[in-house]
Amino acid sequence: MRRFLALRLAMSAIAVVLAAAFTFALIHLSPTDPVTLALGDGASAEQRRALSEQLGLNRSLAHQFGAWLGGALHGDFGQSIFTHQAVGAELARRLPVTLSLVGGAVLLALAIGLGLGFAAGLRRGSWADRVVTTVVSVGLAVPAFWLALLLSLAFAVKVRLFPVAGYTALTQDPFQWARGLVLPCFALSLYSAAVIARHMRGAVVDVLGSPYVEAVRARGTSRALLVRRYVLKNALATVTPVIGIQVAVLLATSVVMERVFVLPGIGSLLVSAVISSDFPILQGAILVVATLVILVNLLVDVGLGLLDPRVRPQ
Amino acid sequence: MRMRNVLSLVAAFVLAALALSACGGSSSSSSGGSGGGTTTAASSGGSGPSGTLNLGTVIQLDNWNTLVKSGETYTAIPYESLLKVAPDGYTIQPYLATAWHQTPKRLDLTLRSGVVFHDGTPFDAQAVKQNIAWIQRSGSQWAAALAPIKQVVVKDPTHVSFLLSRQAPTLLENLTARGTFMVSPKEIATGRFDREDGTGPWTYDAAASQLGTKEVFHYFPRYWAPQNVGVKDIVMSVLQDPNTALSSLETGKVAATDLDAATLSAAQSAGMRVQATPTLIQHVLFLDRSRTFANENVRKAICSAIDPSAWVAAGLGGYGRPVAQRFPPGQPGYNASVTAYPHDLAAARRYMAAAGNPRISFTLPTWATNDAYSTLFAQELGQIGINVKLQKMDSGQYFTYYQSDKYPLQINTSASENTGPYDYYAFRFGPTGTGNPFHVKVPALAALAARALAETDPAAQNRIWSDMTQYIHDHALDCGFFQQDSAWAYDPHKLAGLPTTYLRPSAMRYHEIRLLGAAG
Repeated sequence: MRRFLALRLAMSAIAVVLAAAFTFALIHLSPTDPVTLALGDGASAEQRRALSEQLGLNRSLAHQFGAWLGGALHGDFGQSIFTHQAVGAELARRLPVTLSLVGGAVLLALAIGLGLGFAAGLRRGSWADRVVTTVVSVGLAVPAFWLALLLSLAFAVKVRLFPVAGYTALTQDPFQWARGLVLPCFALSLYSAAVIARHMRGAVVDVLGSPYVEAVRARGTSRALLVRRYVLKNALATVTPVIGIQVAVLLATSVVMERVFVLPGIGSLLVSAVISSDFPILQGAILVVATLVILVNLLVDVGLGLLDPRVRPQ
Repeated sequence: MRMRNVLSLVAAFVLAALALSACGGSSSSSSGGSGGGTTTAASSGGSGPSGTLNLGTVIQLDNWNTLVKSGETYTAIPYESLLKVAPDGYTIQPYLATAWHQTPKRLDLTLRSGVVFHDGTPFDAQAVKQNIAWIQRSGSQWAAALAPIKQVVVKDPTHVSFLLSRQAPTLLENLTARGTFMVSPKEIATGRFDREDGTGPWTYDAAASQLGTKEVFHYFPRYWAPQNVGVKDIVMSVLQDPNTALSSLETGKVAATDLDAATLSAAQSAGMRVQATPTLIQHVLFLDRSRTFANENVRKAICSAIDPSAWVAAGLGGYGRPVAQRFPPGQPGYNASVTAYPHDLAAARRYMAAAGNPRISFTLPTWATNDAYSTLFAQELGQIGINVKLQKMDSGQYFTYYQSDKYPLQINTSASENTGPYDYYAFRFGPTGTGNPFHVKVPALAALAARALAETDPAAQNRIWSDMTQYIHDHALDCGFFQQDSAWAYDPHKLAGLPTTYLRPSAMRYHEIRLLGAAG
């Protein structure tokens, strides 16, 4: 298991560096000139040269990437071209918001998806199974953006149970923090919950029909023990990779929720950086998001290794 | 055992995520449902600032460099200029300067005493001199606006003179503009502009704000005219989704917000009032008059083929109207005998025939705001045999390249044109003007501009500017003028109205906003 973990960690680190290099290359292929955007098109050649030197844009791409990566390893992501704020500090301010939103959505997606899928799989063909299947279809079809607006209209505007927009820090007011996240987390989680529910139902049905479960049942094992020790664990092993993919999907779609509910997370920072071609922010934010996705998938791999010894290297 | 390990791992991950969520992340709102503007009794304007004004906007704040802003949504809150314009958009009024006297060779200003910047630095003639020097060496469009100032002479702390290299008919207007806000010399010296240091009634609270999402301002206790200020605090929320903006208005999170045309009718249905103000005069700019649009008949053909009234209806939701020329009635340069080219396809085809029916094809860059009417423009030109390829861009790319020599035509405008006919000429037709990227010379216009600058009689000067407007029309150097309005929706129970300024984009006269008392 230790060897498995070490191997996965090493591969994750390589993946992070490759993601950073790929992002760097893509950003610098953009035709937009950040110096012109920052100084305006009336700037003199001297001013443009000075800013280019300050930003390191006059050096080769390889040199720029090396310098940036070296700084990033020490927590220095550079400075925003437009706000002059340290990129690291800005990311640190926004990361808790994104983690709150995506973390809450993940927990909801797991609770709803795993629960519904498990119940439907155990009661295959019953009315409960048909209801869950219908709910899953609706969840897959409803766009998150539209759902967010509906929820906001119903529960924030008409019935003022939740705030229409904005974020309260956990340390400032835990109750308002939670209250402000209910609607965006629910809207964000529904699609992923539907995907997880569908996979979980299928996995449970497959496990229940497998020969080893028949053999365990034939030995007189109680249904409760059968479900807990054999069905749940083996079904989870099948669904775990799907969960990892859904976390990446949630991170990508969180930017929509951030816009609708005015949450100052990394997603909205990314969008602003793309529009303004603020390269340092763009590079830092994409690296953080890529690292989060890689970390989650590392956890998924480790969890899968714990659940299913067959995936560990022999 | 293994299931316990898995559960332990998941639990550890959740705890770590919660811990990270607890670290930092400043709050960016109060809960919805509470009052969007703290209600007070209606103020008569003399009792000093009180209450909190909550506003929504699509504009984001990035830094406090006043020279590179495309509007004054944020900068008009903590900063002030030497002079200001009245609501009509062109009558000059005192501000940080209380009196002025202009001759063809100099402008003498008397400065207001007892004013300090937010960092405690006194506002005086020396600070004015440092600001002018900073603006002039910046290379921005505002450097061009202040180019006539060849020397700043400090007489005493409240008297300063600008010695002029030539007559400067629009200097006073330029001294009211957002690019000439007075900034603390200490902040100018740092060159960072990551904090504001103006002389205005409100200071920026960086600790309470979330840059780019919610900006918080508090009343500056040492402000020079507390009796002129209505509200004590301003909270500006960035609401880029129109549905969220509307919901925020309905729930009271904000008292007023800018909205797009499609959402304004929904706001009215919800009991909100809509206030629309003319903010921009857009038009077709024939940038490449050396090759693509060198032929005057081709330009006239385009001017006759287009239909700006359709652009306003489709692209602006009706918030605007076609106009005949660059300057409105009452402003220098206005010519009552100039009317817009009528939308006439038959006339357009005759002009094209007179030009020899050339095969013309060009690329027009567009972005979200002008996409709709740019599409109509392309269709209209297609009807007279001109092929327009639309190149969609994000706002960053668009504003990098729209006035470069990559594209022969634009549908746009610039604040550099607003202040008056000389600035319009210098920006648009001057050989080195930013709006003349192909550096096409127009000797007749250059001669008119030189004559106008040399003319000391204001009435005679105005006649020359009117002649310039006539020339531009007669030779179709620009056309397709249309007025674009900005519209705000506000809660009439919280605000009596929104004091805006004619033809000043994103300019709200925040001082004059008063919160209403609770109704019923």
